[in-house]
Amino acid sequence: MPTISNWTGTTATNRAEDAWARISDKPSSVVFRRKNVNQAAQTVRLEYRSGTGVKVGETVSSAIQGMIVFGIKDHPTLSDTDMQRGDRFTDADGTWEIDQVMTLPGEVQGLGRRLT
Amino acid sequence: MSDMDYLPDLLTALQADSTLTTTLTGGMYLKRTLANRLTHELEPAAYDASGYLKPLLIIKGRRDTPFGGKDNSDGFQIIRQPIEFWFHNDKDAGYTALNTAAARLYTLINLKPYAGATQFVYAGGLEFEDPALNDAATLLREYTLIGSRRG
Repeated sequence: MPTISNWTGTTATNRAEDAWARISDKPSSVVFRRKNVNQAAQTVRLEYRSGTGVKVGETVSSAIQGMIVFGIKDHPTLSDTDMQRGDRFTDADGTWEIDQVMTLPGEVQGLGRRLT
Repeated sequence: MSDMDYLPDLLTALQADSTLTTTLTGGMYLKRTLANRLTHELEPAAYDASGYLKPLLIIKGRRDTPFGGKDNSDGFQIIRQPIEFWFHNDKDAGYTALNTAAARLYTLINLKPYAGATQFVYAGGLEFEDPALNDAATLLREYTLIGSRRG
């Protein structure tokens, strides 16, 4: 018989399983570069957020897209997502950088931006 | 003669230097040809296989200024024009390659007569991380071009 605590996901483990389910629904494999060293590939979920803008320099300008990297923490069978402030990765559209990491029950979220 | 007439020749000359081409693997560009944007799509050669910026140079000419006398018979006029050399690299890669390239540039052009121009004179420099290019390691080297125009 299901317990209400499992249904609501009140434990970090439950929440980690839920977080992993959300990641698995739309997974992306990323290789963070930390101080010029590539880390092992990890599976996360990438979502855009509303913050956008443009930075204009003397010789270049970049479009900025705010984003969130969703990872897991305290999952019963999977390793915690290894993500730090300053980590970067790239995709076909540009370079992403993590500006801050929020640690939540069962989950880590990296708030950052992509410059193209 | 337009403000920028010296720059294509200068770019061609720099692109013929093996030290610069070996060091600046991301390429050398005139700012006006970039449409102010350096992206993976527009300039793929500027990025490595992983998508990070490679060391590169962008040349930008600023407004020229007449000085000295003018020959009214044909409009010959001496001008000076600030020319900016922007060296960029991925911020984690740092400044080593940029310093090498900037030193080579100094050797090549400072106080050296150049076809169509009198000479370039080193006028200053700056080192910083450019927020408009993902905080890329950036060296600015500014030279004053002492040249001429007619009309």
